[in-house]
Amino acid sequence: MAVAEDTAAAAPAPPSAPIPKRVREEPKKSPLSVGGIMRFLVFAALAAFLLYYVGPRDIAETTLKVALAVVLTAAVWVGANLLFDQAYDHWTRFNTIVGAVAGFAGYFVAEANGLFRSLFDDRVRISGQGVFDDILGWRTQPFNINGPLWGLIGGAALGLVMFLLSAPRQQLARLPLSMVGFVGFGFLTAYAFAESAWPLIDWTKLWVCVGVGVALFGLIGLWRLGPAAAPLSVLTGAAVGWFVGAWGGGDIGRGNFLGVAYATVVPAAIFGVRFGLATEPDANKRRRIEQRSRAWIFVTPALGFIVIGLLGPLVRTIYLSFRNRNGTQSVGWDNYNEVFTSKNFINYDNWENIFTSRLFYFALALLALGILVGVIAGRRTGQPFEGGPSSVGPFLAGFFILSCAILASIRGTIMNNIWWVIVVTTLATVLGLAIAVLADRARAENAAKSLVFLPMAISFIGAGIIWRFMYQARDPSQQQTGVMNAVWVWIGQTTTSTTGEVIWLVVLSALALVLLFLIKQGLDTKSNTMAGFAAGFLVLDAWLIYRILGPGLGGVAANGDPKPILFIQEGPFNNMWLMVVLIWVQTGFAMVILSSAIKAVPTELTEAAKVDGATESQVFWRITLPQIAPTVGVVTTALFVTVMKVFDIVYAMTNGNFGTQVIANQMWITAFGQSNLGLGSALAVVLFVSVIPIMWINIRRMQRERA
Amino acid sequence: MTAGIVNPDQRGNGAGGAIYRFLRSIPTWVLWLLVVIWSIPNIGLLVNSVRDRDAQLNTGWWQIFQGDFDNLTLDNYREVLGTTAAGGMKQGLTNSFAIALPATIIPIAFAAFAAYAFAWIDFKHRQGLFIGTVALLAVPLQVALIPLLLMYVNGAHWTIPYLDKTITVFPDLNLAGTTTGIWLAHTAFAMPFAIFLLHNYISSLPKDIFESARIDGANHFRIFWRLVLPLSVPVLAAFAIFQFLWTWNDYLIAVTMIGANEAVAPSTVVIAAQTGQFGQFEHLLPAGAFLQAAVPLAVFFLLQRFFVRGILAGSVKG
Repeated sequence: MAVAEDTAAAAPAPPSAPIPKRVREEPKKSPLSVGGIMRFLVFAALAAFLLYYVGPRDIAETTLKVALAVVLTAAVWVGANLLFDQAYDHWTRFNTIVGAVAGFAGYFVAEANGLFRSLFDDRVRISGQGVFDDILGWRTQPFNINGPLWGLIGGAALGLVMFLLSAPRQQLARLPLSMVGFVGFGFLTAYAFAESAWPLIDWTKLWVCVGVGVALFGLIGLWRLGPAAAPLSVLTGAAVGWFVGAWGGGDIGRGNFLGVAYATVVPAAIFGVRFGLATEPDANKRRRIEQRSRAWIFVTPALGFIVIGLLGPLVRTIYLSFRNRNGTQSVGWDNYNEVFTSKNFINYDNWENIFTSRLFYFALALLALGILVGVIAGRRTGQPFEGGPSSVGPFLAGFFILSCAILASIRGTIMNNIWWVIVVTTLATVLGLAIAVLADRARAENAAKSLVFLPMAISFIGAGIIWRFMYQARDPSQQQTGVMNAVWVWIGQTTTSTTGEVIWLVVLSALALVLLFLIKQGLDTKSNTMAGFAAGFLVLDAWLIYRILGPGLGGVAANGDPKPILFIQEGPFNNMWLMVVLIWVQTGFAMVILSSAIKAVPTELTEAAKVDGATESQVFWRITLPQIAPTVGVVTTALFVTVMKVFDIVYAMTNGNFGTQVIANQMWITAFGQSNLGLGSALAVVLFVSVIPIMWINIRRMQRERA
Repeated sequence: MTAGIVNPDQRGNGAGGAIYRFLRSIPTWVLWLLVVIWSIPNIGLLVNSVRDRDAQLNTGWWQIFQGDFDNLTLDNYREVLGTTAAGGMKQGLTNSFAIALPATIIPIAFAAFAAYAFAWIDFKHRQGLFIGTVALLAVPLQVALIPLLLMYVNGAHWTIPYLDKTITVFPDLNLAGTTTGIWLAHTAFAMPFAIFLLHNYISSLPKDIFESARIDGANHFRIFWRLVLPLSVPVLAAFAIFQFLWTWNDYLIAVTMIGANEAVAPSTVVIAAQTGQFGQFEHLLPAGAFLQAAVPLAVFFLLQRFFVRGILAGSVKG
């Protein structure tokens, strides 16, 4: 229960922890504290559960796999770092190792692709094989030794070449040594290739590739390194172009040994010239190489994951969205046409319903009220429109309800997403803010916040299941087992019995009196907020009294039978009931961030306002709220993205039936259920485009912070 | 928001004072009412998970507050964890660990290197790359799902236009339908957020310690290993918890990547499959859902401080 303890110390989001992590002293913890014992018990229970129910074998296998992956990547990474440690002081050693590693990797990969001739046809059994077979259920196989063997040969050869190149200190010796070394390496490579991989060279394509390579590398060299280095870049371009043209343009497997010699020896010789002409880097350049390569060693693994797992797929999704259902043919904009014209996605057919819905007129009334209050209050202060809680409040509420009324009539998947975004973002932020304010400095603040925050730890699928039970509707003849319907039916039954009706009316009338008193109090003290809120609740109270006296309230039919609501099935407001689930989860998120922002508002400001006679509500609306406005922005943008891609909740509760489809779920069904990759990709791109503004906002925010 | 709406000078004795005190207590009442509403769904699930089938199907769980303890049982849990029940929660939990543990540990390492480089090593395109990475925070992972699955099933190939040769960009590693495939996807998706979060922290470490270390002749590798990692433990823990909860609770990536291979389904996929077969096993659903949530809840209660810190520091995450 440490929410507040931590948030109190934190700055408004996104903060970063400075080095003096805690200003106050961490209290010395006794080894036998209650918390410590609790933690130990929970961990012990978890471990016992794992061992007993899951069994050691799966765990062992998983642990081993993870350990192996971690150790291997760590070895590669640390090795790369150690290697570049050598670049400054031991240039020759560095070059030799680079050559050896590159040679090993190149030959190993070529062999693994079946391009090299076989040195040993038999598979080798290494000693100790079979020892672990029974422990993890792995069966070790006899080993093909060709790959490592070729790798070693290639590594040794290229390592030697690089050693010869960088060992001599005289510039004169470099060119002949380099030529001999590289040409030799070219011949070795030519020999290594199996007959099945010999290329029949297509000279036209080869020369085109050489031309492209020379032009490309030459221009880049000229641009980045200047005219002095351009000839070397041209040579590199020629070598690369030759290599690509010979292998890429050639007909592989049809050629003779001459072909493979052309394809390997010539580029090797060009490389020989290129490296032979280059001068030995001086200390400054070596230092730069060490620095830059270090940065790239640190960054590349992470960026590699991003490029392979996120950026590459993103580009391919955009590409696929212009192609047919299995990606074989281009279809132009057809997929997008379908998204934006199909009745499933946007359906205006029932737009007239807007004007028959009571919500619509209620919303208009609220909007009018907001404008009226604003104008009247503005006359007092000499402004055309006084923006304050009592004018902006009804206005925003009216706008919110108006959008609900409109979106309940204009249906379709995209409209559902818009509806989700408006309702969940607004309500989760408002509720989170309300709880953060109410809990601020309240007794047991941490316990209250923890309980509201708890749903954040539950999966969306789990939340969906939990709320399915809440919304369960059973046959009217049976007892309701879902909380919502049980309450609804209970209200219905009590309001129809005479005594129940009387009790309800008495309670509601008493409430009305209290509210009237509050309105009077508010008007007396010029506290518009209180008067406004009380008036709002009074309207609600009056409506409840009207329902009880007139058409009835609660889940009860005209003949007195219980009448449960089909929360999940009855459209279009079943969408709202699904949104409640996400609001339930995300309010905790908004609350935590906003709470920390509220605590970060300088107390001098609020104290000064109070000394000047401001009421607490004035302090909140005039000081706290403007101070935390940027954080509210952060919360809403984060919520917007979360809501836009909502999937699990809809999937678990309706799977898009009963008019509750959303883009993410539709995309999943289209792409993986109906195997229509083109349309699925188009839907994914729609999701992507919808968050581009948020990306832009994040970038701007980031640039401001780093500036 | 009726907090403190009465001016202090309105305070009086007698009836006025009583009303004033009542009004002052309204915010607290509202707060606890909200807390109770927020807790009802959780309590309902927990109570229902220990009631027997008949009780679950025929009466509401609040019967327990009317002293109805006869039908309490742990059989649901036994059945869910036993091998006979549909779903196989036991295997599901194992698979969840097999996904969530590597998907938590591996991104931390990679992201920490990158975050350090972005914060303290000067290299070309540093700003651009970092801003680009942060921009990816908001990208919905749906945009990567289809190509990623294609890549897992067939690898990725590209035909070079003029030469008409197809090269393999990503080899077919048989990743579809494996837990490895799932945590690799998680690792990639987590990377922007991890880099962003760790960078925020690491870049705020004082500059002096780096400068003095450089003067003493330490290179970046040593500085990272000896200085940055030990100092960054709090934020590493924050990210680890965040990522563990996120991967444990993930459904979308798991259900996409496992395909038809139910043997590797994690717990979220198992309980989602159980909701599909309402009826025979309906009474096992609360127990299954509670078991699925037990691990994140334990993590949540034990390490809430770090979790909150992670949320605060990374609230631009999408």
